[in-house]
Amino acid sequence: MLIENIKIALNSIKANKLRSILTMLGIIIGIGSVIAIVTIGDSIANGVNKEMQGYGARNIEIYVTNKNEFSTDENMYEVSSVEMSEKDMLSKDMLLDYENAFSNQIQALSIEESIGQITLKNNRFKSNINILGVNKGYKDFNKLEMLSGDFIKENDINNISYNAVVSDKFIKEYFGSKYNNNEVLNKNIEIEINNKFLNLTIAGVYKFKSDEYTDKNTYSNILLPYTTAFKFNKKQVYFQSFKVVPKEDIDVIKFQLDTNTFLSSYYTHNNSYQITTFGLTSLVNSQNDLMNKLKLGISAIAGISLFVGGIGIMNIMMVSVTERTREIGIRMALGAKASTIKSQFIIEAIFISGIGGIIGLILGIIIGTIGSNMMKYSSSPSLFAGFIAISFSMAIGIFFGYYPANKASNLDPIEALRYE
Amino acid sequence: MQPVITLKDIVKTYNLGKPNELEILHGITITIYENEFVAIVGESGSGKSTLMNIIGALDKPTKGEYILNSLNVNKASKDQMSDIRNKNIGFVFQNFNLISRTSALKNVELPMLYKGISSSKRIKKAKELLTLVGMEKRMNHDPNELSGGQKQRVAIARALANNPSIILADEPTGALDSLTSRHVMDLFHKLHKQGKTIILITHSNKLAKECPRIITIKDGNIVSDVRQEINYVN
Ligand SMILES: Nc1ncnc2c1ncn2[C@@H]1O[C@H](COP(=O)(O)OP(=O)(O)OP(=O)(O)O)[C@@H](O)[C@H]1O
Ligand SMILES: [Mg+2]
Repeated sequence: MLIENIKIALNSIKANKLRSILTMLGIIIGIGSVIAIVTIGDSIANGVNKEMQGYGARNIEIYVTNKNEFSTDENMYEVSSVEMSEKDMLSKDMLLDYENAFSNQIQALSIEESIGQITLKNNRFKSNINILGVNKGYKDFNKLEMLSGDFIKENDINNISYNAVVSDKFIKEYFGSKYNNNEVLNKNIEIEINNKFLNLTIAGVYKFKSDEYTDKNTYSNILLPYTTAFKFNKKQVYFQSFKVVPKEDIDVIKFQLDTNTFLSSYYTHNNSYQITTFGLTSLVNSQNDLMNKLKLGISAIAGISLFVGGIGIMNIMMVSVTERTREIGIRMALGAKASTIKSQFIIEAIFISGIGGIIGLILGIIIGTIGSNMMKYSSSPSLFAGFIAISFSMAIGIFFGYYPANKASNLDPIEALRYE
Repeated sequence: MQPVITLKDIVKTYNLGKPNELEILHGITITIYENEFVAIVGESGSGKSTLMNIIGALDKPTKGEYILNSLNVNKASKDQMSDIRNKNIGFVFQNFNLISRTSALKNVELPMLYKGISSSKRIKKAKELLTLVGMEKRMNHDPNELSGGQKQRVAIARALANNPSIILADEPTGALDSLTSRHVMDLFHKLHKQGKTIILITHSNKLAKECPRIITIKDGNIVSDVRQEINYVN
């Protein structure tokens, strides 16, 4: 019976091709625009997210800040000019406790202690180089790729060694083409900072990454154990800031909050200083939020189109029922039950809207794919969205087809047969 | 003999309770037995079709009792009426009532479709029936490609689809020439011989005289009901 009803519905759609397609138009436009917009919107959101990820959107920076200083996200990087005393800073033990407490959430924890900057210069280039004391986590945090040798090791930190890790860019600039990345290991370099000399041994070479924030060929770093840096700076090992990135599957917002809570416990009795954490995630989220609102807005317009399309289907089904009153009468006279007639017309409505939905889906995919390819990040429409689109358009068919179908099934066979 | 159709004081009023209320049948009582061949005659507008629609379970009487094969049709639900029309009665309409843009074969399949018979069985039976009425060469044609006589033969084939025991024919020959009418009447005689109960509405006295029982209706009342001996030779 169902198959027969489907055949009858398809025949009737085929018999009135143009009319059926015009009726489908509202559904086609509605579904098509939703799919296209969702696809393009996803691609924009993907692009934004990926770009943010590149900038370290999941990175969290922890600062000890002055409670009395007005601090917002904008001036966060302006480190307080007033020297804070060591008792207000984070100790090595505190960091260790934190790292242990969050060991299954932390991907990498990075410490930096700057010594200063030098400039390498000859007739071909001028290059600024930062001398940074770092920990082991620095490598993972910055996703450095080692080309030869080793990164700073636990031993180096404990022994306050003068082993340094430099970039391949530095090697080229410092040694010219004299040595390759392997030959340069264990070579000594001497650097002068603030009239003090630093004698370092190259222990490893990492691949230079141009920082997307800054000019391509400005900064490259010489990395040494942070303990060495503190010693060179004639300071005790206390930290005013550090950076941390959580593992892939960790919710960054919650992680940031927990980190803040944990470290703040050290500052409950401190009247002047507090822990401030800063991450880009909330920014990314608000961006996504905006995108979602935009999608919702446009989808609402598409929804109106679907509604109007639904009314179109209802209208055409009413016409169809009236036109076929005699046919309905004959079918009833031959033994068709009211329910059979009803399902026949509902199926016809479902097919009109469903076929419209499929055409709309295909159009939406085409437009969406072209549109998202024009954005930097292409995105393919989700199977789920397609499934929703088709089922939704069919639901429209059921909803708007029900009334005409019911009208057909309630016809009196005698009157229907008499209909001219 | 078993009574198949029992009508008791059947009254039919159109537009009941409205200003244009009109009583068409004024209390019809008839009993029709198994394998009877009844002709119903009467002037135009006398209420023959109205009565036939009630017998065919297409319509319900306003008053009176209708019992079909011991089932009280007055009390039947819409779906039960559909079932009666589908299985017990083969209806041949005055104006064919074939579904347009649907082949002769598909039209004959319809009653079997609504009975729930499988597609292959339907097609086989429909082809048999169309062959019986001599329409085997035209079975894939739509009604608008058929002559009046051909359409009526398709309609008769359709009435026989579910092998009903009762055939109701409302002026089946009204639109046909005398030769085609002859073919159709021959077919009814053949079905009568096979044991079917047949009720035939006709304007033609000549055709009525071929039937063993003739009921005459005038202005919604039965004015005569006669049985006659006939020797019909096919
Ligand atoms: N639905 C209806 N509403 C109102 N009056 C009706 C309706 N159907 C039939 N009638 C009236 O009932 C009367 C009988 O009609 P019916 O069709 O039964 O006549 P008939 O005997 O079959 O005539 P004919 O030989 O011309 O077919 C007519 O006067 C007709 O106008
Ligand atoms: Mg009539």
